[in-house]
Amino acid sequence: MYLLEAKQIHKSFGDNHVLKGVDLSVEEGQVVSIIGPSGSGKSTLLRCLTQLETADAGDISICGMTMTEDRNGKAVYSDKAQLRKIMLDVGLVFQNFQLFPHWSVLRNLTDAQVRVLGRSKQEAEAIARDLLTKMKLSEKENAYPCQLSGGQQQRVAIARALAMSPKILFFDEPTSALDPELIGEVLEIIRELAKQDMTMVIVTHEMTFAREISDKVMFLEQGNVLAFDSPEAIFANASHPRIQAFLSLLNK
Amino acid sequence: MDFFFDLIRMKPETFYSIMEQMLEGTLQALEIFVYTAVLSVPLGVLVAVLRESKLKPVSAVTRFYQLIMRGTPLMLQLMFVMYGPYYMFGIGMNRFFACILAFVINYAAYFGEIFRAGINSIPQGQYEAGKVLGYTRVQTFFHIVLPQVVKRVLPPTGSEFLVLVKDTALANVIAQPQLFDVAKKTAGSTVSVVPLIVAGIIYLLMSAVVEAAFNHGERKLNYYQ
Repeated sequence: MYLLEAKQIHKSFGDNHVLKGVDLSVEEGQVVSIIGPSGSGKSTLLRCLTQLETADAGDISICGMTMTEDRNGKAVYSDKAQLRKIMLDVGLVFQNFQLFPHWSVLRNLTDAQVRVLGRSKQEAEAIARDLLTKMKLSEKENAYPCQLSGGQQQRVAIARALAMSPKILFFDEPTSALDPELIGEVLEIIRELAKQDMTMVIVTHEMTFAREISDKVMFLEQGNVLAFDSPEAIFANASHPRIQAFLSLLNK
Repeated sequence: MDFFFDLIRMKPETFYSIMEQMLEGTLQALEIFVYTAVLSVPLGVLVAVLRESKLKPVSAVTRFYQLIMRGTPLMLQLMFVMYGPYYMFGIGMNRFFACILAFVINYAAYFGEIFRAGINSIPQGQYEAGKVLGYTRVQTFFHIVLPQVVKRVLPPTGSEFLVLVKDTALANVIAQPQLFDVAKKTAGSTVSVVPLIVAGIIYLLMSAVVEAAFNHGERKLNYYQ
């Protein structure tokens, strides 16, 4: 069963045609990485899938619920209630964390559970503490985000997303804002989630990581999907000259 | 003590009588200050939100209101609110009510700009994080954005509050009794500079309390970046 199906997504900003008919389907439990050069539309695609941008044209459905349907080349979005329902099944981890700086780590993890999902405070805290243990951050529950390293902040951000029990988790370059020595701890967490069959879509520049963790890899360039295939097919036997050039540049 | 009254060239009973009136004037000035502060801050948040409205007419009208309030003398505005309705429609205004109304709509215009700057300084990503977690727009604004805005606007808001302490003296123009009014009248009747000095010290003390309160607030919010 496809948890995410997107067909022929188009998105322009003014004259800038960023996405030119992108297809993406993700099965339950799959990890899909999206790679490609800067400005290829990776983040825009992710933002369209998480409702932070509205697509101009195309179909998107998540967890069997229609988010938008294409009618005569125009994306027609579902009603607010449906969009909100979809939103609650989706988690997003930002490049620059976007933790709430005025709240402690624990409150960052519990507030939305209580206020949005209506869980009791005790239940929310139990879930949060369990996640913090998994993130090896138990002793940080009373710290404020500004007291944490980048890697710790990103692990809190992942925990915050997971606390809402999403069915699919998106990552927008989760390690791009981190110092090199902090990248490992975040990738380790994502690896752990993959083992637990969390459905994930990851925009990343970490090629080795993408190759190792993904069930499928999408190569995006100038708003076009050049390839959507197994990691072996992309990394080992890249047939497309553009992909070969991109990967050889990275291996230098 | 006699030395003191010799120095200020005033009979003790005159001095005590002046001080009593000063105390009353201080309370009246504080009344203007508190009403204006309590009412103009929330109104200022509203002004900031309306000014940022995506509906062009709403934003334009708000901007025009702010231009008038910030571009004309507060003294003139006090006169207009107090006597305008009478001159135009024969409606007599309650003096205290007119005074507070003029102060509130004037200060809300300034607070609107301070809060607008504060709201705009919060990164877009905070709104997006709120949205993705399922918060409504109203929840995101009040629970995530506004608390962070408070921290950022505290220094300029404190500054504005200090101005307000002294601006209460402008109520004199519509004969609303308060500290400055007392100082002016008693200085004239006793032909003495003492009431002016005493009033100055009282204004300074009130300002110092306001300054200390805001300083305290800033330190309390220092727990995050």
